[in-house]
Amino acid sequence: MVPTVPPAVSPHRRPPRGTVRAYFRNIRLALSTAFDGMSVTMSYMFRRPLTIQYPDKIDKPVQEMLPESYRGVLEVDMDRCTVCLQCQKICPLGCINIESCKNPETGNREVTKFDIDIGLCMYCGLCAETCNFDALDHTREFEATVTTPDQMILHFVEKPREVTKLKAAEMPVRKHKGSILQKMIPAFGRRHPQEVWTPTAYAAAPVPALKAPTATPKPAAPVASAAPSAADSPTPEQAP
Amino acid sequence: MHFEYSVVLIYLTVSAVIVGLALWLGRFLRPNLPDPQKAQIYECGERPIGSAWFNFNPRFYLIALVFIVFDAEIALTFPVATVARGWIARSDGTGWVAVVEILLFFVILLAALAYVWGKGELDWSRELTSPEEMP
Amino acid sequence: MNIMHYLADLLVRSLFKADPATWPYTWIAYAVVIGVGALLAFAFVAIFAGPVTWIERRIAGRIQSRIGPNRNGPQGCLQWLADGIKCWLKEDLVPATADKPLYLAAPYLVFTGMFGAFVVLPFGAHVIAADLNVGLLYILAVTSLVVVGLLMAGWGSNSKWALFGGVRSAAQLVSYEVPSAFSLMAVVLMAGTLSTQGIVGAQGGWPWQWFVFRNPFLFAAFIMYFISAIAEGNRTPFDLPEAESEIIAGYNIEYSGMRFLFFLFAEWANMWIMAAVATLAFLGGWQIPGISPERIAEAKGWTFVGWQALSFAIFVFKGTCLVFTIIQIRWTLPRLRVDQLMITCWKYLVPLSMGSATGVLLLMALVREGGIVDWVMRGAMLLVGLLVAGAYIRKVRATFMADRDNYKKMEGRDLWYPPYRLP
Repeated sequence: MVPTVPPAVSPHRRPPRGTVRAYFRNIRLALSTAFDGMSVTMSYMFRRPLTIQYPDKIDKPVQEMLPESYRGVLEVDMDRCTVCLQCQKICPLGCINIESCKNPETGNREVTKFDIDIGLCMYCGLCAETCNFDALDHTREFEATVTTPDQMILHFVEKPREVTKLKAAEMPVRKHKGSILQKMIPAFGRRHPQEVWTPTAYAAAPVPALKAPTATPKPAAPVASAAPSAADSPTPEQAP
Repeated sequence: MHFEYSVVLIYLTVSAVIVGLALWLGRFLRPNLPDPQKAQIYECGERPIGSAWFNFNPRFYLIALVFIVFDAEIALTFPVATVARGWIARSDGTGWVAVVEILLFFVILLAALAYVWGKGELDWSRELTSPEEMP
Repeated sequence: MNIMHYLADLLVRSLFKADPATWPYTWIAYAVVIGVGALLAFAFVAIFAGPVTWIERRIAGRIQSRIGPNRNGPQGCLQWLADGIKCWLKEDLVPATADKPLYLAAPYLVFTGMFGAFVVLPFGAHVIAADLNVGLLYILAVTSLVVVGLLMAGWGSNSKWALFGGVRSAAQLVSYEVPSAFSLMAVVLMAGTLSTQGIVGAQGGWPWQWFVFRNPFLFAAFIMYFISAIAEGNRTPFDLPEAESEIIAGYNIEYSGMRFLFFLFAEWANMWIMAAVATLAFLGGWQIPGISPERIAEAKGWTFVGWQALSFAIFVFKGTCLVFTIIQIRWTLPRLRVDQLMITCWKYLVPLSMGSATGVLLLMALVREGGIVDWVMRGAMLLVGLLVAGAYIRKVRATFMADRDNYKKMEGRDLWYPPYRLP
């Protein structure tokens, strides 16, 4: 409507000229603008709501509707990882924790641990950019809800495995982004409903230190041979 | 007539009892975990500073005073307004008594309103020292 | 004849085989019947105010192009029950520094002040608790108990925000009581009575018999009453007492659980009260078109009950339409500033409502009712009403059509989504 409305009555003793006209114009403006506003809101009663109800009424998963460059939860394809530690070095928060050792029997390098603390990750994307082998990358997964704090640490190496010696070109094709995580996502608490988060459990859980490997409750029996890793950074379990 | 006003009394009593009953029944349902932090008043998360019973904008008092004048006038005008219709229908001139009376009330009220308005007392944010008010 | 009086007498006669005039315990029967009536009124308030909170949130959702609560129960229709139960199970906190008696007593006053107005609301031809001969004045008087309650809550909490909220709400409520009383005075002049049933009886079922379309001054009085009623109910755009951007929650900031719920409950029920008063004073109340009140009174048996039910439905329908308008206004207009609020009241509404009452008075004295001038005025006002409604529909349609094609191009779907389809 009219952009500027002069005040109906000025604070001075003697009202300036046009005061009466401004008074009635204010009344007219109040009624007409309220009328306009009411008709706009009324028209919205006949419009389709823009909100699409998540996750009930969408025709495909939201993950597939996000753009390719979306930075969701990190994922490693261990078939392509050469354990070059570039990602661990560049991570500003130290949320990637990799351990490897040489197997004395076969003489091959083995990776014993590839943990990503998604509670610590800030999704900056530096690690994914430094990875020369397209092994570490952001997925479009974002529903990383867990029930206990220690479930926030993703273990991409369940048992020690050999590090690939292939060149980048010879490596197997990168698995579909998200396919590895999707297998792990049920482990985000949904597979173990009996693990209920309690404040005492949180207090008892060891605080993960920067760079230092965190305590893993899983039975880490095959790590018995991991002597070199225990030398440079002993974990609480391995100390006794 | 007694019946009508006893209805008012009982309605008001019942409403007070409903509130009391709901609060009393709630005592068995709700937790009671007193805590000095909970008993603090809310001041945006800060520790409260002093009491809240301080002086506030005197405009509120002025509004209250103007309201009392108007409300008294309303209370006095309503009875006349109620009988005005009957008097006008009588067509022996008594109707004009009511009309003139109500108009007189309104003129006095409007004069008072115009006075307060002209003094600038109706403006909420007002310059305290306009040149004319300076000593 | 009061319907509760009649029922109580019937009870004494049939159940105790006694004459109500001489039986010594008649008053107990009366008290019981009135108490049951009060509980029925409370049930109406609860069943109205509760779901309306959910309905308002759904409407707000549609207006803001979103969905609103739809999880508890089918389409979320049990949301209000969940909210109520949640509040009931919450701890009742009292600040250590509060003025305890004032703090604890405030919800009682607020709720009682609200509920007292239900005594004189004429829900149907004979569905009224008590037809007081000072009905409208009684409503004005008893609802001002709410002001006392809010001030007590604000002062008793000993919190700065609560104090500001309480004082603001008191200033607002007392200020807007003046224009609403003057607007109602115009109605009282027209009806010649303060009794609510009398005011409804002075109107008729057809729109040209309603007070709002009688003459231009009453039309203006209706608009001004509606505005000041919204302000008295602390609803947006006049919700300064609980302006969350300025004073966190206003007078009820220190309250929790059930005590807080009663403040909210009174606010929502107040919405119904102001809609009901506007309906009975300006929109013909419960009057059934084409059926005179005498015919309803003379009817016997189930016909009588049927007329009562129909008049009740008409009253509730009209009130609900006004409630919807209030809700829509809340989600349309932004909040006023404190100085704007006071200016709106004292510089605009008060003189104009006095002017409308004066105009009604002069028209009554000068224009013969039922004469040619009277009918011309009624016809003209009805025409104005229809024109406003037509302009409104046209404007809504134009606003809708302006975006329809763009939406279709961008989303590939039709913009049309009827209001009855819940998303």
